Amino acid sequence: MEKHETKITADFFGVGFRLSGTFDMRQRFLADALYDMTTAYLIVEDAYVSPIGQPAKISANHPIAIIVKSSLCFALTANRDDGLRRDQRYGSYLGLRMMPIFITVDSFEITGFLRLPGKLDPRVLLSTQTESFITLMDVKVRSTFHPDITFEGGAAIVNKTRIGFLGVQSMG
Amino acid sequence: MAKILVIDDNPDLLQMMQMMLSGRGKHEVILSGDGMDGLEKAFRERPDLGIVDVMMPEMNGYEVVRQLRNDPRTKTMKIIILTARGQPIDRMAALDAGADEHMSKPVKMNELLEKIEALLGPQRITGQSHLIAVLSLRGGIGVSTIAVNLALLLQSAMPTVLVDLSPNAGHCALYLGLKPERHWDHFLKAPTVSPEVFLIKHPNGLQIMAAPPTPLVNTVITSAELQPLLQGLSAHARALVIDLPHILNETTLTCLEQASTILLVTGDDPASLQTTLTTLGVLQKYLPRIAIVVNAPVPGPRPPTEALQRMIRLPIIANLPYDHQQVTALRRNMPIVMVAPQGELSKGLQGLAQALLTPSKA
Repeated sequence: MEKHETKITADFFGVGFRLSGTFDMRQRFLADALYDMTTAYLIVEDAYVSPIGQPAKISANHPIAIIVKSSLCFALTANRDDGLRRDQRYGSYLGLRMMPIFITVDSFEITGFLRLPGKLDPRVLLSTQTESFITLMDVKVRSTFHPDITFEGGAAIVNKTRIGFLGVQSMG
Repeated sequence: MAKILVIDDNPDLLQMMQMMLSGRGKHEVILSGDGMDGLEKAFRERPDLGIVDVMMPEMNGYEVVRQLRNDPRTKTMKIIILTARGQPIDRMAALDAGADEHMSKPVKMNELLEKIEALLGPQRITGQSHLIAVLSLRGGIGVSTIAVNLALLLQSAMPTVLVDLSPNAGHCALYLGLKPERHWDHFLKAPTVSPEVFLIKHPNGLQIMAAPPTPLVNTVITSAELQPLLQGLSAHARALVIDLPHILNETTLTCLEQASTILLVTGDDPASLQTTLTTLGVLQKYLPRIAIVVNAPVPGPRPPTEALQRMIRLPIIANLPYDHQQVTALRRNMPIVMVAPQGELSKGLQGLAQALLTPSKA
């Protein structure tokens, strides 16, 4: 069985704030929990909230926080694997190609790579009928209104409904 | 071995830190589970280094660091912020709050230990003893006088060795009324002999590694020569007071690397202050260990200490007054603390020695 951390710390970004919290992965991976369309919420522990423009200020902290998935812009994890669903992890055929991609989500600009099995089909990629989130790898995030504030991560799980603009170099 | 305070609300991490820092790092470890308790322990124990988590209930790590930096008891301690918040912006936030370093969890223990060693500086070869380096790049403002009298005062509290590293016929032995029959050049020529063999002794018990009585031409004590000298002497005393030459050569820099406290002596005249400020600019990496001693070797009006403090910005540990009895002391080859122990200069020097004997300064 694949060895993984039982708890990970991830950053969850909403409009104007960032919540750093611990997600318990004993039941399932973070990506599986976010992709799951049968639940609207995500529970994290030891949550610390900072305004995007004031990263050194911790404006609130709570032992338990409930994140409303539809309000979440994206979640950022340090390790690539922590941003993948179980079926996307080791052994999966998904990700034969790494396509550079740029997207805007509310007040963030995200660059990274999309793992694709074949050609890019935007209708499938951006469809929210079957999946509400997509995973980007090796991401860099810039705050639109605080361009000197950037974030990095091995993976970002991005809320598709929040995407305003998507840019790729080619459709091939 | 250093005293390290770890503040983190995760008991598992505290337990692991205790094991690793004391076991592998050979450090004395103090643990705290929250910010308030951590601050109290820091003010009471005055650790050399703190490892502080950010995400803690009640008081977060940034606030802990800010309070440590604002308190004179802990303002110079080294601080590593160790947090699961590992973004570049978090590093900036940690440094802005006053931390010396930022590391992300999960941390590799080897990397943490290396970072700790780097922050604490090279292993103090003096072990448990205090190495106090007295320095000024401007001559004639009383560096040797301060070193000699300070060593005498420290000797009354603990075994002390005074080391005169001047290559230009240093005067420490002369100021104490002693003949430098043995000196460090003898040791350099016989490095296999234990350095304490070359010490001379003052009647009050202070031992002196004197400088050669005649100037040495084109001679610098190298780091390789100096290390065994300091190591040997530190095994022999609890405090080493080093009178450094007025130059940043290999000898001086080796001593600064090893010093637990660097006393940078300055006058209050414009030339002295300019030299001091430019010296501090060059000695950036030693700033946490530098304390300023202001000396007035000549009479006349003096600027207030507050004005000097605003200009220099490092703690002024002593502001020594002009004392006309110092002239008599020099003529008699006797230190001022013995000629006029109740004089103003002696009182200032006693205050300096006392400040160095308190745990936060020594």
